[in-house]
Amino acid sequence: MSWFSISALVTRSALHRPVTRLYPFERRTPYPKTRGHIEFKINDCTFCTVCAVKCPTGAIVASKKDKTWAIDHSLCILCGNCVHDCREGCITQCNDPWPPMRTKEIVSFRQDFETPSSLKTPRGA
Amino acid sequence: MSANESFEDIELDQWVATASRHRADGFRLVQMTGTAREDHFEVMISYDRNYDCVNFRVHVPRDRPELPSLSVVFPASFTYENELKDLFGFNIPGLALDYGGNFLRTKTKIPFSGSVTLKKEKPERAPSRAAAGTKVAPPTPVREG
Amino acid sequence: MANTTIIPFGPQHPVLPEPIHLDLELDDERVVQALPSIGYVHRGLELLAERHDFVEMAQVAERICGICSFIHGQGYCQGIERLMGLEVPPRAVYLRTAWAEMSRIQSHLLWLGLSADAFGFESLFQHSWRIREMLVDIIEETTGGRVIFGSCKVGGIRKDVDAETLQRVNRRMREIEAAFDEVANIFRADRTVKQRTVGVGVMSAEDAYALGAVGPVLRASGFASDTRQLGYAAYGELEWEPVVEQAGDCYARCEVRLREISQSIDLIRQCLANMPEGEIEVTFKGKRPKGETMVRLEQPRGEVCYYMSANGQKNLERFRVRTPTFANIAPLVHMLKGCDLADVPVIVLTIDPCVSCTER
Repeated sequence: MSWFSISALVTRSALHRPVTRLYPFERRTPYPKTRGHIEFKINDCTFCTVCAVKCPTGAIVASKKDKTWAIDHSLCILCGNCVHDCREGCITQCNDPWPPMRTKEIVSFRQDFETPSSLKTPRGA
Repeated sequence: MSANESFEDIELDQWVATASRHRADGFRLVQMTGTAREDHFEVMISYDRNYDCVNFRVHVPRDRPELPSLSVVFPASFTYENELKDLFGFNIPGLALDYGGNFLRTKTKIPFSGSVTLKKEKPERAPSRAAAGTKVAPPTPVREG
Repeated sequence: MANTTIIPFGPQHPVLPEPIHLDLELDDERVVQALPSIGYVHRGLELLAERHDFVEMAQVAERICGICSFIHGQGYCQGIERLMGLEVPPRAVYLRTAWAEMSRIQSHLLWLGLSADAFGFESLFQHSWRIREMLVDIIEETTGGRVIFGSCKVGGIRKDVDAETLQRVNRRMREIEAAFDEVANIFRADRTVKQRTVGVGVMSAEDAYALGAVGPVLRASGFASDTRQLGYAAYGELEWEPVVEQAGDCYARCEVRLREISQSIDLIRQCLANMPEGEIEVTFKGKRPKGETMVRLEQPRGEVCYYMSANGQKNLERFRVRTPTFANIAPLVHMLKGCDLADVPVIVLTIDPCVSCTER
């Protein structure tokens, strides 16, 4: 009798479609709460650099003088401290997971001095 | 849970006697820990019986960190004592299973003894201030399905 | 002494994905003595607590271990809350309890899979992990992370879970229970499992207690000791009894974990049914931890102790973690004496070693 239990399970899984996904082609939609990656909107930013100070891994570098903001996604641990502490609300946590990285991926932003509307977007617009 | 929690200071020569008394009373060794204070080391030991935890502390002078081993009373104490030896540099006479400072292999020897300062190692940053404007590798996440 | 051979076991071993090294002294096929050594992955996390802000340290505490991550965070937060005299709102307490039980289930399922793999039962390994995946999905849905929950913080929890999600969790718990019962039956009935585990690595209740064993290792030897009995978090208000087995062998330790999974599913149900409404955190503006405390919690692997000492600064003076595996090393050495070489991986696995968190 001890053989029956596992063989019933094995037969069922042989007839059933796989429980795994064909990953790069088929993806699960992320949950609303999933900590995917940090998104940044530069036009609201005042470059107070609170996020850079609060970042526990030092993934965020911001400069008040040059009006730049950069995040290293390979260092970010998605703790959400920067989202919580941003006074302007320009940092958000997006639920799409960041794609696997082969090298360090640093996304930098700079606010243009003349035309603030022509901002640089991270997603290679 | 905090109601039955006590911290008691004892003398160094009471260390083994307290352990024997608790062993005889059916207590279990919960843990042993060292703390580096400014002018002395503090070693705390906790015993537990029926979820009652009692903690005893001894003060060990910094210039002669020596603590008698409890190996005879609690055979399981060897892990904690080797840890004290490796992290705080204690000398533990009578230790049943002595790893000779190789139980926890650390880069800095006896790191917890209080003389080590944390080196703030800033992670390597690719964008220098001048180059920060140039966008580095704009990743376009592939999204299918 | 007769001719003995010394066989080094680990730190890199095909069966055991843990950096523990054992020097096995063998007489023919029998282990005469085992000498464990760890220390390959010491990270100095305790020292880090003396240099970090106590609020931020909660995130580091959660990263002590990848499997019992949530309970490390919970233990740290409980300690700080006690030092500051904070009263956590009941909803946060219940959610913490539910998450702690979820992390217990996923840890035990992971262990069941690994142990099935260790005695060569690959399909059972895959099935255990299939069920674990269902649970990890629930964890991700409610907290946002699969492994690092990131939902515990000093004073409460970070994000609330809405009623609809809780209902969905309740429904999914039923599916998990049905799927788990099927796999549990295989563990209980199958000859392969029994042949490799029954009568292997036997430890009596007296030895287990005297050597300071904790968690499933102690309970499998017939000693009903479960730190959750202290009644921290919501455990004092829920109905449950510690799971105890008498045999003290590897099979009993497996059985304890199987029964604990069912118990944890039941505890999660009770938490969801009694979930209070209200606030999820308390504020503590300007307060600093002061004094010293000892916090004990039950992790999937056993009792964990945190000793915290603070003097009103923004960082702790001392943060000490004694993880369950550390306490289980001495019992492991005892169990290995006199066993067969082929049984060593199975015995080492039944204490559910987590060496990385042992060294912190």
